[in-house]
Amino acid sequence: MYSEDNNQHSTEIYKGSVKRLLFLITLIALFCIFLLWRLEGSRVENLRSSLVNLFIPAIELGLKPFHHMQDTLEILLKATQNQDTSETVLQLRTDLKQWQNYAYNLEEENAKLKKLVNFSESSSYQTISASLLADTSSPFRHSYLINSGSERGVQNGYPATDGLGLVGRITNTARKTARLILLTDASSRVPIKILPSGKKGLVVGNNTQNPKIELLGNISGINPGDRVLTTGEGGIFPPDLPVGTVSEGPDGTIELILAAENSSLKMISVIKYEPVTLNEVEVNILQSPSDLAEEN
Amino acid sequence: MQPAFIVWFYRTLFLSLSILILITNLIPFEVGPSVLTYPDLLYCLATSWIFRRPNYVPGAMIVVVFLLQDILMGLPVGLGAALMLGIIEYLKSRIELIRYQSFFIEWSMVALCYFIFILAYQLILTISFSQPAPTVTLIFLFLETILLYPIIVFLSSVVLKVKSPEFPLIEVIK
Repeated sequence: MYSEDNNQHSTEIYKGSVKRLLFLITLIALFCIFLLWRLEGSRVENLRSSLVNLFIPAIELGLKPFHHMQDTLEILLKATQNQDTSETVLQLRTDLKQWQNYAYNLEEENAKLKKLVNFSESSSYQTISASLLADTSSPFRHSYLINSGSERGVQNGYPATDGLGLVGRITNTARKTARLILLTDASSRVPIKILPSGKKGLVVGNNTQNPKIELLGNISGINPGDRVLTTGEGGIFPPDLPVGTVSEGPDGTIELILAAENSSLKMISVIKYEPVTLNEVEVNILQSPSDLAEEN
Repeated sequence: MQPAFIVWFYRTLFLSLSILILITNLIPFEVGPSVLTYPDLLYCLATSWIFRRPNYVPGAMIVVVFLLQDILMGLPVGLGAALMLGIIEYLKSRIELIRYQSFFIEWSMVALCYFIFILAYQLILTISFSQPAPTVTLIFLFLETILLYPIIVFLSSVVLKVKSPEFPLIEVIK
């Protein structure tokens, strides 16, 4: 009886030590995966994209009821608001008429000026529209999953907008999905200029809602509400895409208020913009008539 | 001893609940990054079950679930899973100290471990030259998760019947 007990005891100890060994091995393996991710990012990311692709049917299925719920909620909300909106619509219409006239005038003026500086219309970019599949944002990473991938021509590095402003950049393309890193993500850097002052700088994501603006040079001449556009320098983003407006941050810094409406995003368009090599960019900067016009 | 099918039923339940939580985290409902984040429901679920029925949540399942979270959410692959595995195995080894004490002790243990988790995560991200998260958001994440814990404990013990086994007094006398 006694020896049997002892026997059982020793197998228990044996089992325990095997478990502990397994635990240690798994722990070390996981840390190795993390190190591999850190050092050989692109390979692990590719693996991740293909894994996520496997999960797409499950995610879509799981999200379907929620999408329905969201849609019905929105319809209900709109229905309740409808009653008191007819008057505001009329007012908006007259306002829009005025803006329309203003736009026509500007268009005319623009055409004249373009003729003056011999501006050749740069090829407008093709876009691929995609809808938001999942919000994969966390405090550590700001990204979305979209439902278009390499099958529809999406490639790594393409910028994406929501029609109002730049949203981010495609980083991982799988066959049917792609991951979109937002401007607010801490890894995001976008060369920008601020109008009307024409100052240049960088929009630096910091995992908060309002990315920082780091200026080349001093802050003078910049006011809250100034428009922020991409410069196209570095060749990663096309020039003159709206990004947002300037706002005052804490202790003298300036921040960006995004033009893109991240909180009600459903559809985005991915711009087919191949990153330009450095040499081409330099030539572009030298010859760009819009730059010349700005200096004058 | 419980019959094996009950144990396996709860193991499958844990896995399905975890996948449900992961998918709800992906819903673009209030889209976009904000100061408020989703609380770490997975951590609450895993720890509350660990204290009551550790055999329902084997270590392998912890690894699978948290690795899946890393992969789906675009987080550093393997880091979250490694830290969680470490913390949950530590909590598993401390069950006897906590089990038949007041809930408050369990709660503060969970809070302390989550605090260490966030701290270690931030530290490793900083050391490895990855981008750490903003502190304000992490404070919210911590508070939300800790406040949610009692609710998860209540739901899993009352609705799902995941309760600690009876106090083993009788066995001791025998």
